[in-house]
Amino acid sequence: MRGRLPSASTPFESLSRRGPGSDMIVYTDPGTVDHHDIQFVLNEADAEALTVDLAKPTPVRAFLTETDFTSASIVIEQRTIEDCYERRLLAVDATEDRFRSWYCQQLRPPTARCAADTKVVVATLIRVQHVYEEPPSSRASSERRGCPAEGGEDQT
Amino acid sequence: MTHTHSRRTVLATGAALTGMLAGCTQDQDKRADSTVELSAIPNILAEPVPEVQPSAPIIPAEEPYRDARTRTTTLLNELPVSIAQSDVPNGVVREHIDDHRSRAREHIDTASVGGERRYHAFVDTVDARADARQAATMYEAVERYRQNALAELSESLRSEHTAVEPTVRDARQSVSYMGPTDGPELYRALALYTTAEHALDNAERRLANWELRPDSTVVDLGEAAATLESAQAATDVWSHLLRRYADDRPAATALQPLCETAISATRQRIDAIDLPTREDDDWVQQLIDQDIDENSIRWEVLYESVDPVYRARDDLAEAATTTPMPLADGLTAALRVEQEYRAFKRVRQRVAEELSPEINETTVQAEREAAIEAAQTATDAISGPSMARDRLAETVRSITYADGSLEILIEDGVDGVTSMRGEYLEYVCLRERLTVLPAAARAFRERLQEA
Repeated sequence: MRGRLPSASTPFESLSRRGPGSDMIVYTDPGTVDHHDIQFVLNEADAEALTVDLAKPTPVRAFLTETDFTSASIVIEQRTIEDCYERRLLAVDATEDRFRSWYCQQLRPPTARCAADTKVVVATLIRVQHVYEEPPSSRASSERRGCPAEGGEDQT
Repeated sequence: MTHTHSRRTVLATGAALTGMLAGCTQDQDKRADSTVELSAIPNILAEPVPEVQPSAPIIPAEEPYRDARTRTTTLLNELPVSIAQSDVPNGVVREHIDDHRSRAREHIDTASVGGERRYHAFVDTVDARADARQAATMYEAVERYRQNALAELSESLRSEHTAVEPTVRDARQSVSYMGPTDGPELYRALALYTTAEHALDNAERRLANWELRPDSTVVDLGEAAATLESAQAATDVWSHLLRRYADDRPAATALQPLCETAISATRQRIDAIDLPTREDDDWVQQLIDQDIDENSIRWEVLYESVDPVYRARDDLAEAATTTPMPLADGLTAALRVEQEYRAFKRVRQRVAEELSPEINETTVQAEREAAIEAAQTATDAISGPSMARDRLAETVRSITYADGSLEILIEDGVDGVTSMRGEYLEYVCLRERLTVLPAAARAFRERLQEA
């Protein structure tokens, strides 16, 4: 089932960053990526070709350069979200011909400075312990309202 | 009694009338998806819906009403006049607090009132207190979050939950139907008892489902506090009104046996009606001696009118077979059965004879205005405090709900068209529900009289 969490996730680490507005913030060619695309970064050359459109791009750059592409791949998902909500990655399922991810979203802490009725974009970089030779043909991502205990956006 | 005729008897009567129309329904029904210009909506909604207040069976004393308003104001006073971003940085949380504060204020906005208006205003204090408490608790929770002390607030709410549960349970168990056994005084008593029982049942159910997770947000905590406040407020309001009625009632005979007999009698009558079983694929078709296209307006309007009959019948059966019998559920379902079955029969007759298969500005407006006219006639016929009056207020309110779905369409000033199918079906059914309500109320009262 697409919406149901798998009993075990493929091991992963992730890093999320928010950007203003709804434009993508991590891309190779901004014209070829839309909100529903899942990008696959499979080697150092792919990683170096990425543009990181953030005021502080260093953590994203570091996350990419610290990846050993002989044992892992990077998957990037970018979607908009209400400013006062946060998205958390719960699990991924990476196999040779497919990639699935499961997210939840929840209200940010009351002290988080944010505006109601405003959308921002969140880029989630996933370092998944699976080596893809090429992007899998089957990709899907689902998201539910409300997160299990242990809140907060993944900040690996 | 008409409503006890079997389906076959009614169908046989209608067959002669419908035979001449049988050949043309299919083609006409295909035109049913015609659309209506959004610009026609203001015209369709031009006729105002009458305001029909539900019963005010007993007027509360001034003191408890004043206390409830004071409690609301005290809670609201815990909030600053304007909530700054520095106080509550999260915009959604700030918006929630402002919304609930505004709603609480609206409930107590009017100056202290007397007479029947005081009854409605007093009942409204339940929501006023809940909204005020939700706003105040969310605001407090933000401060506690900063101090890393949310767990203490949760603990305090859990203790309150433990304390309020038996209070509400006692109030619910103390609802004892006692009063005069006939005439308007009986109807008044039943209006009070059924409303009180439903309100306290609702409070008890919400408390039973109440929970606080360890990771509850400040919004969750606000909602949890509002549920507790609402339950306590419902207990305060209904305990007072029931006590006050006990001092005021002209007689104090136990009404339970009479109510149970009336509920059982209504159940026997509806069970004697030969409605098709809904497990049959063609059960809607079986309702009428005429071929009806499943995608047609005629099919849908039949479905929309008969579905509440089945639901009322099932609710009645459930109440009648529960021990002890839940009188509010049983009596309410009995009145709904009388109303819905009559309304269904009229809709079926119109489907067979003349209901327009076309949805356009004229037909939608005509059904809505006929519903409003029926509401006015019913309002004149059902005046004193009674369950029928409450049902009337509820049915009239449904016109405004259907209107609301049209108003939303024109809110943004967008041009275009809409099918208006749902609204048309609703107006057709509401028209008949309101037309038959006086007769349904008389039948319901006969069941009570015969008990």
